[in-house]
Amino acid sequence: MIEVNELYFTYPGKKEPTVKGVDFKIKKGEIFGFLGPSGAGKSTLQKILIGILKNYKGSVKVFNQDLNQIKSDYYERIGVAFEFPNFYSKFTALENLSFFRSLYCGKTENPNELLSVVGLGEDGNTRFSNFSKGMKMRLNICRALLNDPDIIFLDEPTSGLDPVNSKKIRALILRKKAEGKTVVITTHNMNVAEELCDHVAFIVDGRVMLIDEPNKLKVQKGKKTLRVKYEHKNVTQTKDFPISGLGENRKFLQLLNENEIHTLHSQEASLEDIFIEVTGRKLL
Amino acid sequence: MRQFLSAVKTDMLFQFRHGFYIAYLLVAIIYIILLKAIPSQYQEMLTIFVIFSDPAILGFFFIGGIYLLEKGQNILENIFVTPFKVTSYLISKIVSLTWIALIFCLLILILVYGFQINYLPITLSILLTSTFFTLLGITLVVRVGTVNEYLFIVTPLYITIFFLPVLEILDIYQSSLFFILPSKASLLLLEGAFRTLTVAEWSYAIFTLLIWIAIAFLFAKNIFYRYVILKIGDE
Repeated sequence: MIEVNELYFTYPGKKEPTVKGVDFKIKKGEIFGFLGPSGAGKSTLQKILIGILKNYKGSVKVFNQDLNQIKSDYYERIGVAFEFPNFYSKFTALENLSFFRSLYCGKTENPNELLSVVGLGEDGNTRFSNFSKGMKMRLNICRALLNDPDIIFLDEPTSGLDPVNSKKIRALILRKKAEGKTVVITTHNMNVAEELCDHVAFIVDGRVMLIDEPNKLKVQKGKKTLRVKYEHKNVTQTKDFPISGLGENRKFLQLLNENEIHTLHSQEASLEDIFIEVTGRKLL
Repeated sequence: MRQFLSAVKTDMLFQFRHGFYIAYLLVAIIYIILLKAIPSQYQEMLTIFVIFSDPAILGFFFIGGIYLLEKGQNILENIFVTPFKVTSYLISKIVSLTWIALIFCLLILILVYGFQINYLPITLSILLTSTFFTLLGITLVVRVGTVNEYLFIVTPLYITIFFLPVLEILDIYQSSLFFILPSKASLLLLEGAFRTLTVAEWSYAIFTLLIWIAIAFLFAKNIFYRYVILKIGDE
């Protein structure tokens, strides 16, 4: 779906490239996450992929077509939600969506239905300026889905959302994947990346440091141990056991039999730990 | 076409909700009162000045205000990640501002003169003048960051240059160099309301305005791409 080889990009007037020799592939129907701190080159990469920055070096192919040669019909097939939800402030949610919908020639979604999906079904006639931050973020996702795009670019899709609405949006993203859509997420939220992404790319200083499946990384980079929290003589205690041969580990079995167990956790690494280990940088 | 009409409709709704039409109406009322009150020997001169300045100055002000409001609401980056093109954006702005200029100018003229003047050259002048000044406004406003800079530095500077031929109308100063300015052509067409224009005058006026519009359009498109499209997604 998206194939990028040896991509370099330098902003006009700058000496140093912002994107330095990036390669990656994104398959149809997958959720791909770009993770990295601010200024790492994530948004530049996104601007190249959505066809705004054209004077890059290297090859970028989307839908088997060189991005340097795309025309405005490319936008019929992609949907973009930038990090900040911006709309006409004196228009209602429906007026805004209807306007953006009218800019497409192909098949489009019904704005009322999209609003209902994200829990804004009752708020279509409310002015955008009266929306809360969370409502604006959800409306922003609706706009990216108006043209039923094959590739959806989402920048920090759950930022500013309460847990209930964040869950709604994550479910919506997974539903789009189930429909065969490709989703490209840019984020520094590790939980979003862990939960949603089939592959993540770590980006630091304009380079991709690693691309892999979050679950595989967590197991590979984690300790192969199980941490047990238990109650012993009215004190909560913690003990680690190697996962291999756990079923025959006499000390482990004895601990299970003789104590009240609070929690059992395998010690796989968190994506954040792995990011710091691989890149030597923190995400924020 | 559906896309374009929707853009024009949205622009008009935007202008209405931000109070542009009310502002236009107030200006029109002031103009009507002024033209009715003035002694008849000055009426023609003042009419030409008013009808020229309306699409020119107001169009220039309004496009600046509209662009800066859209920029302030960060709406542009979202419009241009759809199939909507810069050319359509520019034409939509021209159409939405020109029709309102035309309506109000005709309203002023009909209330003051009835149907005793020639409306064809006037209509043409308003259409072409509004188109030119809207495009000129876009090429300038995308470079400036604030309303104040636009209103107090850019507008006086450019309006002064393009208003020089008004000096002729007011019998203050004459120069054949004014013929290269689009405003001279606009004013000449407006004179056509009160006297018959020659074929040469018609041809000169329309040709000059169309040339200026073509140049302004290319500039506007190019500058818009550099200052707006390439900056999409910048924080």
